[in-house]
Formats: sequence, C-alpha cells, structure tokens
Amino acid sequence: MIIRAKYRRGRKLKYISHLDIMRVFIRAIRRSEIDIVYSKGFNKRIKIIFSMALSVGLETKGDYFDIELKGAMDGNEFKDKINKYLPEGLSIEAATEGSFDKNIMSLIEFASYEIILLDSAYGLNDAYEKMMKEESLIFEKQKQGKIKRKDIKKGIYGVKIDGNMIYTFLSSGQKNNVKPEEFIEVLNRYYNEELKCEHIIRKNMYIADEKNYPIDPVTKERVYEKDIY
Amino acid sequence: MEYKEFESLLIDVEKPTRYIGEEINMVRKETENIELRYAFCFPDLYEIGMSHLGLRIMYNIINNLDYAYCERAFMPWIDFIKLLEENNMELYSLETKTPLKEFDVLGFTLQYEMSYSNILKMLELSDIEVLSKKRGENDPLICAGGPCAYNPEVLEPFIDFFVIGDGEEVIVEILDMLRKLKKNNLTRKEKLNKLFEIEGVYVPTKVKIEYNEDGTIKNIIGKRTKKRLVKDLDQIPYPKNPIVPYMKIVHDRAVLELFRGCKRGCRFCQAGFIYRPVREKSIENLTQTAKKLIENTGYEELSLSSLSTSDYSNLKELTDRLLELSNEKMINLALPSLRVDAFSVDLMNKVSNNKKTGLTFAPEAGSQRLRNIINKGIVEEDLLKSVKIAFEGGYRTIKLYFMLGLPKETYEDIEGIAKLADKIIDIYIESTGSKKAKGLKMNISTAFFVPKAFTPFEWEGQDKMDEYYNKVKFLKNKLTHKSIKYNWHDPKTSYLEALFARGDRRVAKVIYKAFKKGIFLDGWREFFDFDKWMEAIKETNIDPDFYINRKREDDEIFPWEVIDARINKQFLLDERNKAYEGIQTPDCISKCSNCGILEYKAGVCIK
Repeated sequence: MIIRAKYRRGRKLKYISHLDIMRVFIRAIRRSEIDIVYSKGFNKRIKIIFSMALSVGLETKGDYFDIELKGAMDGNEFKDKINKYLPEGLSIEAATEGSFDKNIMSLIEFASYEIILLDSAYGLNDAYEKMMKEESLIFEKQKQGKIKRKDIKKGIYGVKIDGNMIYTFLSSGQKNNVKPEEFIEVLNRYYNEELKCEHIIRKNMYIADEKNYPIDPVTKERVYEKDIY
Repeated sequence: MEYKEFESLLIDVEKPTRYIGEEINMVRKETENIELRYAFCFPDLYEIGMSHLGLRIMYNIINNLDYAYCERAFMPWIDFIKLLEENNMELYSLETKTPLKEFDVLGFTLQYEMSYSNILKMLELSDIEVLSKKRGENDPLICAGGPCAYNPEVLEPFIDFFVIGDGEEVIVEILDMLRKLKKNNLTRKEKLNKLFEIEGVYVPTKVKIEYNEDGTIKNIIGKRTKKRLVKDLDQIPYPKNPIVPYMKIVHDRAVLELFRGCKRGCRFCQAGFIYRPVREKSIENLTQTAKKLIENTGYEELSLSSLSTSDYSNLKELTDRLLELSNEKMINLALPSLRVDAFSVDLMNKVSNNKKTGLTFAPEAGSQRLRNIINKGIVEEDLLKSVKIAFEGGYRTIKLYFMLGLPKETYEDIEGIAKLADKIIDIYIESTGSKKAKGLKMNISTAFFVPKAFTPFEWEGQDKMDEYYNKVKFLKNKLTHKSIKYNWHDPKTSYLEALFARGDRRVAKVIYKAFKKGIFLDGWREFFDFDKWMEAIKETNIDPDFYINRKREDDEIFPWEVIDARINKQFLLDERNKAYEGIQTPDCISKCSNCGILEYKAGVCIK
C-alpha cells in the first residue's frame, strides 16, 4: 500500500537542501516505527519518492512524497504519526492511501507559486503582456560548462500581478519544469528595473486528471482560478 | 542589522544550513526565565563541531539545569565572515540568534592546536576583546576545556579560565557558582578568584611564571590545578537526545561512548595519559542508551566510540546485544578501530558486507625495536596473522599508519615499514593465489611525530623538518610495489603543532601576531599560510627551535605543570628511560605501574 502525502516546509527551513529534507522525513518515519517496505539487498533503503525538488530559499505549502508501507494504514493516521517526529517548520498537511500505479514524481505536471517582490513593480503587467506576445521565451543556464537552453513559454499557464505580488501557474515535473526564478528572470527582460524577490512560496503542486485538468494529488479536487490567485 | 534581515542574505553563502539551527532535538528555552546564558563555541565549521561528542554531552548537562541555557556557535566559513563584516553583523548563537557578546559565558573546546587561530577570530567576529585583560565587566567570561587544555599556557592571554579534565561535574559547579556570584554583583576579577577555588578550574592570572636566563622556567608560583575525573561513568547523564543536523556532518550517526581512558600506555600518546584511568560503562547502560539514541534520532547508523574499542572488557556480549538491537531496528553498526583478529573479522562481516573501506592497522613504527621503544605492543607475527585472516575473509584494502621522527629512530627502523609491506604482499599472494597481488590496495600513511605534554616523550625534541623530508624520500624509494599508495603528512602543520603543544605563555605572542596578520581557518588547506606563521614567529622574537627541536634536561620545569594531571613526573621520566632501553611496560590491567592516578581510586585501578 502506498501513502501519498502532502507536506509544507516553512520559511524557517527554506535554506535546508531538498536532500536534507528527504533525510528528515526518512528519520521521522524510522522513529515512528511504521511498518515500511525496505529495498532488498544489504543496504536497505526506505522506498520513498519525492516530487520535484524545490530550489533552496523557497517555501512550500504543497510538496509531495509517496511511500510504500507493508501493511494498511489510513492517510490521516500516517500524517498524525509522522508529524510527531518532524521539526518546527516541517509538517504533513494531508495524506491519502491507495495502490497508485505511477509515482508522484512522474505524475506531477503543474505548480502554483506566489512571488513576493520587495517593492510593487509599476507597469509590470504591460511587461508581462509584451513577454507573452513572443513566439518563444528562451531561458539559458550554464551547467557543467555547457549552456542549456529551454523554451519556457509553453510552461506558463497563468499569471496575475497585484501590487508586489505575482501569482503564477506554471508547468512542473519531469517533462517540462519551469521554475519561478526562471520566469522572473525572463520577465525581467521586458521590464526596465531589476525585479527583486523578497520571498517565493510554492502553494501547491498538481497532477492531471483524465481530462488533463489539474487536480490536487491528495484530495483529487480540481483547482480553480480562485485557488491560485 | 536584525537577524531577520540578515537571513535573506544567506542565499549567497555555501551551505547556509551551517548558520540556521532549527534542528530536531534542538533545545528551546524562554530566555526571560534564564539566569545564565552559556554558548558552547566550537572553533571550526558546523559540520566538524556537530560531530564532537563533547558538545553533545555538555549541551545536555547544561540544558538540564533549569536556570541555564546552553546554545551553540561555530567558526563560520569565509563567505559568511565577509557577510558579517559587510553588514556590520556580529556572530550569533544558533538557537536564539543572540549575538555572542550578550552571553554570560563562552565555552571553547580545545581539540587540536591548529584551531587556536579560529578562537581569536570568533572573538573578533563577536566584537569581544581578544585579550582577557582588556575585557570589561559586561563582556562574557571566556573559558576553554578539552584535551589541549592540558597545556593551557599558549592561550593564557586570551582565556579567562580553563577547565581541566572531565567536564560533566565541574561545569555544574562552575555555573552554580556563577549564578550566585551574578546575584551578588561581584566584579569580573572577583568572580575569577572564586572560580579558581573550584577543583579543575585554572585561572592563569592567579599563577605567575618566573624564567631562568636560558629561557627555561625557574618557578611556577601559585596553586596547581588538579584535573577533574568522573569516577563512575554509569552515574552521569549521557545525551540520549542529541541534535540531529540537517546537513551531512563528518560523523552522521548516533555515537555510543564505551569507556574513557586507555590501558595501553603507548608512550607517544597524550590521550592515553590524560584520560586515565580506564573507566568502562556497563553493558546494561550501553544497551539502554543505544536503544534510546535510535528512538530519539532515527539515525541509520550507530557507532562505538572509545580510545581502543577492542579493549572493552566484555566486547563479545556487548556486540551480541548491539547486533540484536541493530537487526531489530534496521540500523548499521559502525565499529571503528578494532584490533584485527578472527573475532573482529567475523563481527565485521555480520555488521556490513562492505569490504571496500578496508581494514586499518596502526603499528606506528616499522620495526619491533622501535615499537618496543614507543611501547606500542603490536608483535609482527600477530599483525601478519591478522592480515592473513583479513585477506582470507575477503578484504582487499589495508590501511597502515606510521609515524616518522620517533625518538631513537634509525633508518633501519624506517626500512622496517617497507619490509613489513613486502611481507603483507607475500601473504596476500599466498592467500589469494594472485601472483602479482592483483586487487590488493595498501595505503601507507606517515605522520610527523609531535612530542606532547604529560607523556614520557615530553622531554624529546621534534625531528628537524629537513630530516623528515629525507626520511619520506628514503621510504618512498622503498615502497615501490604497485599496490602501495604512500601518503605522507605535511610537516609544516606538525611543526606548528609542536610549537603550541609544548609552548609557554610567551608563545601566545605568536598566536596573537598571527591573528593580527589575518590568519584563521588554517586547519583548512586553502587557508594555511606557513610563511605568515614564520613571519609571526620572527616578528615576536620567539625561537622556535627552543620549543620544537630542543631536547629538555631531566629536571626542567615545564609550562604545563601549572596543571596537575595526577601522573607522577618521575613515572614519566622512568618510562622515558625504559624507552631508551627498549623495555616495554605492560598494560594497566596486566600490571599496575604506579603512574600516580591510583590516587583517585577509580576505574581500572581498583578493579
């Protein structure tokens, strides 16, 4: 049986790396003594899969992991048991049980973000509209000496700018991952002042239902504009 | 700048986790109710300091007092230092982000000499006067403990008081007293006077040193500080709820301390003398503690810690119990520094299938003659037998540790290392049938001997650096087999270690000068600047030869004799003379050699 859990990682822990956060969960699960499935072989590993890593410095209110249990357990029971062993700033918000045939990492397709700028950006809406008129939006990154380029335009599904807040709905996951920082960097090309972020929060991540509509991975509820903006 | 604002700048530093805290099992207290604020300061990076068992022990003991709060601080990396300096920010504690300047006591631990420059840097970064005499009534008291505190003199101008020996009991006495003194509004000087009355506390301003014309010590005027000893380790609290760091630290596992002290009496080893007598913890206590540690941390590995794990009296029963526990809780058992014999190889197989890390031996000297001189009892026959067992058990990697520059060492002794290596290769060929010793990896490592205080070799001079380089070259030419990888320690750090390990108060000038020249983090290769140190030595008119290479007279008074380690000096001198004759001394359990520690009536002495 697999538990699919949604967790939040608060501002206090935003500098802890994703790998380190994974280990915190693994240690908490060990302390809870919940019967979990270990991998075979001498170095027994807990079978846990996390959703796409968040960049260091970001907060999240909705990241996910799948974990395989030996016996049966209700998602809420799992949540309560593990939360006891998590540090302040890290907690499981919701969990559901099932026998999912695909893991959460492969299923995630969308994510919503709240970007808080240091100051309100006057005229940023115009910059955004100008940006979206382009055919493609190339983001370049240097990785191990090579330059990687990707087109992020297709991954920008929705944006609302309100004062110093930017709400975005972006593509996320293994196929086409658009990071909020990448979005800001590209947007900044169309804006004449430097956009400085005070804080970025990932509000939630979503999988697609049969009709390719984004839904919450645990509650399976469809997401509407009011949830994002 | 407020911490909240400062925190946003951490995005620009390497491993920001070093500076955040918020870990599992971190202690949180309401500071309004706290009478004494203590900061445990480890003078190296977070990932080094968090591996230190002493920190976990003291953190636990002090935080058990309801009137005190122990927080942590570490030496930051260069990028964070720049951030502090650019933003007019001071070094802060991890728990509450309070500037260290606001604490009542800062407690540094002296684990190795190359960390001393970091102590001064941390004080500077905290905006605290580096020189004790310049500190004001509102500045924290600066104290230091740990193994290097047995020669406290080189840090005399910077430390208000030192704590010698086991810390668990004396720290409570110190804090109890400071709590009272704070209420009574005593001055800094009065507080230190009172602290000096506590056994184990050394206040350098209360002891005067007189020198002879030749530079040696004429007289030590003042009370000698007796080391503190916890007699029964089962009776003192052990941290069962240690902080679990987020980032990977050097020793990322639950640590179980088996016993303190070592019975062997190897003559070069300071730890063997200053941690006497051997005091073991009971199997009951250890098993209970192990269980609690795993429950409270979720660590996947449990490691046993002691100076010589194989010497634990009931090792078989202990490891049986721990293996049972580790199988039940799905954890790995790490067994460092075990003597290699059939029992331990069998045990190691049960514990992990990973033979890649190999087995470690520390003969320290290449010939039986020299091993007898240093009282390292390893007999070549036994070593070769062990190696055979290891190879037959599937091990392919062997690590051997030696020292160069030991007293009375000859080139023949050094050649012994190469001869030993050849014999090991032969055994490998025999055991595996591989004619060219295919698959064998032999890592041979030589360190540069540093004579230490309170050992039989405290009268010795360190070899000249040129001699060391010659010896390395000589050995290198003899270790030609392709399976051998030879690694030799850089003598420059050992040279400086030798200066501080047996330096007196005047050597403190060198440390101060070096600090003024901007030296810090010099335990790290990228920062170690030997030339700058040599400049500091030259500019302070300190003759390094006097401290490092000079052979002392038998009746010389040593700077570290401000401390009484309860080891008779005559015993050490007798040991030194026996060493020159190549005569061995049996271990404490086989035969008591009356070193002086019997006076405490504790541990192995009374067994």
